Amino acid sequence: MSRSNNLPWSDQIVDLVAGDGCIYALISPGEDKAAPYIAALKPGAPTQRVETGKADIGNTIHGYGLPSLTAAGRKVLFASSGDGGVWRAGAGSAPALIAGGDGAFAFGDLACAGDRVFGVTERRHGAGRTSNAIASICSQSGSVEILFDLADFVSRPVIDPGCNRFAFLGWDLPYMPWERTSLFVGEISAGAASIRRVAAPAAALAQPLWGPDGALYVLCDAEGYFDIWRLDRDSLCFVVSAGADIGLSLAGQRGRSYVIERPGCALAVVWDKGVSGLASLNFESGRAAPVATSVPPDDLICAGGDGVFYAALPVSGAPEVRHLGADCPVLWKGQSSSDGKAAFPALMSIETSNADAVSANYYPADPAGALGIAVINLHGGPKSLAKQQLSPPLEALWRDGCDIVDLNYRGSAGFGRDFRGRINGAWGVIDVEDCIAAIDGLIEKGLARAGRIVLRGSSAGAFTLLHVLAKDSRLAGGVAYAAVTDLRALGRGTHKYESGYLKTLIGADNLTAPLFEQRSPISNVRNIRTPVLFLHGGNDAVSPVNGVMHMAGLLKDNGTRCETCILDGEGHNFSSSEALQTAHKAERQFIRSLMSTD
Amino acid sequence: MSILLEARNLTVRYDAPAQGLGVTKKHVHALNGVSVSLREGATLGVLGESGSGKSTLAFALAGLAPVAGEILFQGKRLTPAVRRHMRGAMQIVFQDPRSSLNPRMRIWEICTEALLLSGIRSDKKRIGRAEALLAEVGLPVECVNRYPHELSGGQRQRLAIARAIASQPKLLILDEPTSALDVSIQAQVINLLLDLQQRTGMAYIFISHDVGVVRHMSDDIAVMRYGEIIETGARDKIFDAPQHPYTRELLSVLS
Ligand SMILES: Nc1ncnc2c1ncn2[C@@H]1O[C@H](COP(=O)(O)OP(=O)(O)OP(=O)(O)O)[C@@H](O)[C@H]1O
Ligand SMILES: [Mg+2]
Repeated sequence: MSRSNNLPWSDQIVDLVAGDGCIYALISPGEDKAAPYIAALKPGAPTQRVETGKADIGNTIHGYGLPSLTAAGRKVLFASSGDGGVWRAGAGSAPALIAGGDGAFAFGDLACAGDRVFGVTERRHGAGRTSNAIASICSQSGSVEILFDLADFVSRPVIDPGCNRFAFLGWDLPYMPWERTSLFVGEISAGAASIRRVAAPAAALAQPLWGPDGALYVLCDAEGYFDIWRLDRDSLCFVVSAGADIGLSLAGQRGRSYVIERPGCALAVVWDKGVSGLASLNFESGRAAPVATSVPPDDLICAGGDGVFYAALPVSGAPEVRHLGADCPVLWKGQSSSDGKAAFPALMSIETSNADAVSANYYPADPAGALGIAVINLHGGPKSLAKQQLSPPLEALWRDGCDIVDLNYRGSAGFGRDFRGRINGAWGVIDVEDCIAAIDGLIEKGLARAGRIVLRGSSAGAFTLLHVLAKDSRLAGGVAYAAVTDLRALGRGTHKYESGYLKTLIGADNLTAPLFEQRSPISNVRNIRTPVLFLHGGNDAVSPVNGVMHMAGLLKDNGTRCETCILDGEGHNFSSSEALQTAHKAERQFIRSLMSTD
Repeated sequence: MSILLEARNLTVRYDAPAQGLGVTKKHVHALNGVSVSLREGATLGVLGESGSGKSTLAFALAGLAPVAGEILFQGKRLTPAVRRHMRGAMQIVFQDPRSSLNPRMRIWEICTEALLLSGIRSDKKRIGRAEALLAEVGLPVECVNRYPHELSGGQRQRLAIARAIASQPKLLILDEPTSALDVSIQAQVINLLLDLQQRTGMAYIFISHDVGVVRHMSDDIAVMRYGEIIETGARDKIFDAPQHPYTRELLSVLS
């Protein structure tokens, strides 16, 4: 482990919307984690940075944040996380606050039609209590009218091209938005009184979208995958399937995963067994034809006057905004620390319990510097996805000479509704089986050796990791970022958005149920003999740091090697560049020490 | 960057098997007026369905098939005499390494055969060089005295690559080098090739059925059908704006 000591970085495309004559991209810079900015992109013209003053673009609605941008004619509207306001900006004019900004509300997920702006509001009542509503804002006067506050959560207001109707999603606890949501529609002129719920299957609906044909489309996973459905008269009807999930519908719901390219035809970002691609979907024939792209798409696609644009997701290095079918396909390319050389990810299939199969993205180390260490990564889901992209710390470990195995255990998104649901009631059981099956598979194929395998995971991934360590002695060590050690503490500390989630995952309704204790890693502490490194934020409100300190104490009492690296001022997700660097350094040192003792 | 290889109007004909009695002899145009060009250090990916002429192109470029047309390598017109003089500046790696590795030769002998041509005959020198080559392709140095059948499929392909790079070629022609391998092993070989290219600046002609692998490896792409190149250009252009309907169809098998 001698190569560059710095953590790689890369810009990220957070949002992508089509405006009048240009595309707006919300970019989160990788270097030093600078504040996000909006880039205005136009084929054949230089990139322009939109002047947004001191407003910080983004929001934390529903805990993870909703999309922040919407185009409004020649301008762009954005939600600001600092003051909670809605701002308007655009080339050649100073940014202006049009609503909120006094901290009473937070806004996110905006939609615009004429001088009306629709958005999701979040009001904070203290003691962690919040309420969400769909609001209508007059962009002239800044007055805010609450239209709908009858669901626990709302998202994705959209307005039809004729500015007559609107639609949005809503759902109630204990569901997560990928389990069961409802679609609501209303008349703009009649306001709140006209809102009604659309008859739809009991499934997850996502990303409503008005087509150029005036119809309302929505993604729905009632048939097993997120497919395209349409509102025909009063109820929702199936239109077309890609035979795989369209869009990921993760927490944060940032995806913009399909566009109606022309009447009867959609272009969509499809996640087939967790691997992304574009597909063209014909409503008439029901056919889904893959559309090749030189870099796979991420979950953002939009259609403007100049054509279709999408965010491209390289294995490592800078993301791009690409113009589909154009002679100059790269509209924008981000910055990154990468030297351009990328690992080749192989999709590895692993047989696991109940005749199921899970997959992992396998990135073998460069033969020149291969260390013969396999690092198995468990994403922070459980309903997230390891995309075919190396996160900065994984890229650093890969460049160090480790083989990386990024596992999509059951419960992961991008494999359809069934796969995602397998983990319900079985969290801490089947995810653990999948990880052990991955270890078996690697050893059987001769790709890894017992004692030369390191497990790493964050949040839910670290929860799984601690269970695996208690069961499997072939590991050299475990690196647990923001670990969940005590489910009851997690259940008490979690925010409203996820307050029903844990009960679904464990399969018990009450935090006092014995299952919550049995499935807590802290209860298995006696069985862990493998060295562990805990990396934890001192201000982690989701999984409080004292839980980790307690577990570390018990491990040491048992004679198990255990190190802790507490990052002051950091929450559940580390945000400062220094904290990420410190954590990475500690992780590398720990892995190095594991390997030098044999 | 300067042009390493330029091939113009390559044509290879095979005699077709006679069909029934008294049928006039026909020819199969395995390669029909194919032109390609490759920059130094770059990778040209060749895609096409089975029988489209990919291997024939590889053979023709490597001088292993009788070919009409013109091949310029580093600005020189390739004739048999010039080829003999090139001392392995162009090497080829095949899909199935078993058939191209002499089972009776030890591994150090296999990967240093090319050195004999440059007059290095001392066994000690050859073994030393073999050890360095094995390390370079990620094979355990202990293998040096073993025979090819003692290696796994992926290891045999690494050995074939070690043998090919022993003469420090400027161009490596890779004909389906990973098709016979398990996907995870395939990824190892792909990463080995990327790594070698970065370290040595070799150019590749990379032939494969696998659209995903070609996408990852190539700077430029040529699409073959019925012995012809129907579309060629920068990777971005071929993938993002394919012109030929066949290219579109071929690329749409990509998951
Ligand atoms: N020695 C030969 N004698 C006669 N015909 C041949 C010979 N070698 C190849 N051909 C024919 O030439 C054509 C091109 O074959 P080639 O092996 O170059 O295809 P390819 O693209 O490499 O296919 P694959 O993907 O299956 O390897 C085919 O029609 C094949 O049948
Ligand atoms: Mg062939």
